[in-house]
Amino acid sequence: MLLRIMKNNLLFSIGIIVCALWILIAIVTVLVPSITPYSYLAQDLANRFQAPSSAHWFGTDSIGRDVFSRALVGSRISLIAGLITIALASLMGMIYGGIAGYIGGLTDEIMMRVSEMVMAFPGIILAMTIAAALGPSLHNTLLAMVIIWWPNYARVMRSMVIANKENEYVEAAKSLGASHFRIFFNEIMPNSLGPVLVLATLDFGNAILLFSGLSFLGLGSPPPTPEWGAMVADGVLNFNYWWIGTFPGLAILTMSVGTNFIGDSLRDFLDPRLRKEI
Amino acid sequence: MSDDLLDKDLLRISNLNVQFRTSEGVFKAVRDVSISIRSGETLGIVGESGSGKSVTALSIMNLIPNPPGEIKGDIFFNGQNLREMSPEEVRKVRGNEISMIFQEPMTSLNPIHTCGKQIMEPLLLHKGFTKHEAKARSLELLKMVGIPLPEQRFKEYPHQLSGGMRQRIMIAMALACRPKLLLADEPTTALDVTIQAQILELMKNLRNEIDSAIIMITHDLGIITEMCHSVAVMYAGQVVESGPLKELIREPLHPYTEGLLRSIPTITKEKQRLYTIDGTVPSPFNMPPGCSFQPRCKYSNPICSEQTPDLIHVSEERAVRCWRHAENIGIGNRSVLHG
Repeated sequence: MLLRIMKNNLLFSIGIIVCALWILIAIVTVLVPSITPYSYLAQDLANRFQAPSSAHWFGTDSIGRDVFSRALVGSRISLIAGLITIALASLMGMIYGGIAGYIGGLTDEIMMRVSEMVMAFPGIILAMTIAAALGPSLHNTLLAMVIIWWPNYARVMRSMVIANKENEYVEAAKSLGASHFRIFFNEIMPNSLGPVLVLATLDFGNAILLFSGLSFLGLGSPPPTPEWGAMVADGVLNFNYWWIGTFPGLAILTMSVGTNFIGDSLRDFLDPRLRKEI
Repeated sequence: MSDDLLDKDLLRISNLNVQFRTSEGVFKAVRDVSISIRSGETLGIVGESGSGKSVTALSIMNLIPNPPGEIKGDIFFNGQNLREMSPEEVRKVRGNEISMIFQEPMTSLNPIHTCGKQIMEPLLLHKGFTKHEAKARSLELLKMVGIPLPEQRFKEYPHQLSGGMRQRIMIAMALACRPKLLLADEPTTALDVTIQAQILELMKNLRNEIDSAIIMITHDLGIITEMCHSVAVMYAGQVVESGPLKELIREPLHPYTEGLLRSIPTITKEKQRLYTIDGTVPSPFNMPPGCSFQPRCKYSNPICSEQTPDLIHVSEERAVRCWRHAENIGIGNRSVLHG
């Protein structure tokens, strides 16, 4: 099934292959740490700023750590950050938007205005403010990302719920004596999930991008944890040694482009008007 | 009506008023409707689109969205006033003792659940069945509504079935808890004629089998004559005439009923122009003074545009909302009539 779909859709296959590869790398480096040519923490001050060579495929950084090993290990934290952010933000947004849409009226107005207050700020600036105020650490950064991200899902969920709650099967369920809880979770919610899931896949790459951006600005895990964004920042400080920043940058690029390809194809597939044979 | 007669009524609606507050003003969808029905009976409610038939049915179920809707009046079901029950209590009645069949079988089933799951739902909700019992009963119901290969249909999704099949599924859902009262809101409008006949036949058999009362809402007089014991004719939110089917058809009292009956095409007569009632239903925001049928009525008197007629009981079972009959039996305000 997956193979058949991939045969007909080039972008989708590229996305799947790239993401699968990164997920595989992340899992393998956790399970078998010795698979990387060097330890991602091992410093070798004698070999600082080595250009890419057969010994160090992606060269070494300012304190002689192997960029290739660090780039591989860095996939772990980016994937987890993206996953947690999207999972929490979409869950929170779905519940919030779902309640607003289902109740409607003044409650809806107030709830949506509150979420728009969050959306009114440029995302990365608000995230920086929150993360800086709470103190730079991984989980504060993730918290900041969830805070700026959930309103997107709330909006989508709300509009889906508003559209779906007028359906006749909802009235039919009411006439059968179903409770509000049951109607919401059993009738409306499953019919509203599609667009939210697509948005989540599309956003996964963006979340990784934003996380890299924040860790580039020094708001991620404290060093020496290998993070792609922090590694790029390191590359900027040592601008003459192009490999330090370029390779983690490429890692960010491939991961976010890959997830975007998947999300795009998924949207096309779920929207009948855009559906082609995927 | 005497008191012991009232007690026999399974459902008695008295002075039901439903209005919607909209930006254009207050829209009175149902005005002073009083109807009653006994177990085993079928009551037909006929009327044009917008005459308040469906709103009446929805207010029995308390499914009118509020706001903008407001319900006033009493709805007695089995001696209990549904209007005074808590939402929790009403929910226990819905789907259990009163259930409803909707007009659109294509959209009234949830596309993401299997048919079986949807039929099991009321059983799990109201009867406290286990999944296993509910499944057995659902298969029984599917057989009862004449669905071939019930085991297989049980697992299928609504989009895999035809309209007639889906309407049978809806009926199976509505009948799952053996309701005392079944509200059928144009159950066959979306179906073609052969399927329509089958569904009506099915409903008749089921009525006899479980002895429930049916309120049949339709704009098709053919269905009424096929199915019903008594009829209420609605016009612009009011019941304009009610009574036993045969008498009402033989001798319609209200000019609107007369018009409706005359505008049924016949196949026995030679080609002739079909009778129509001139004019259109008045806008609910701009009701004419007096009788709301008066602008279209060929018997209209001066009093008709001055005073609204009451629903007058011309016999034990028949009632009509028309000044002509008020005059006949001497209730009319003669000074206004002649002065």
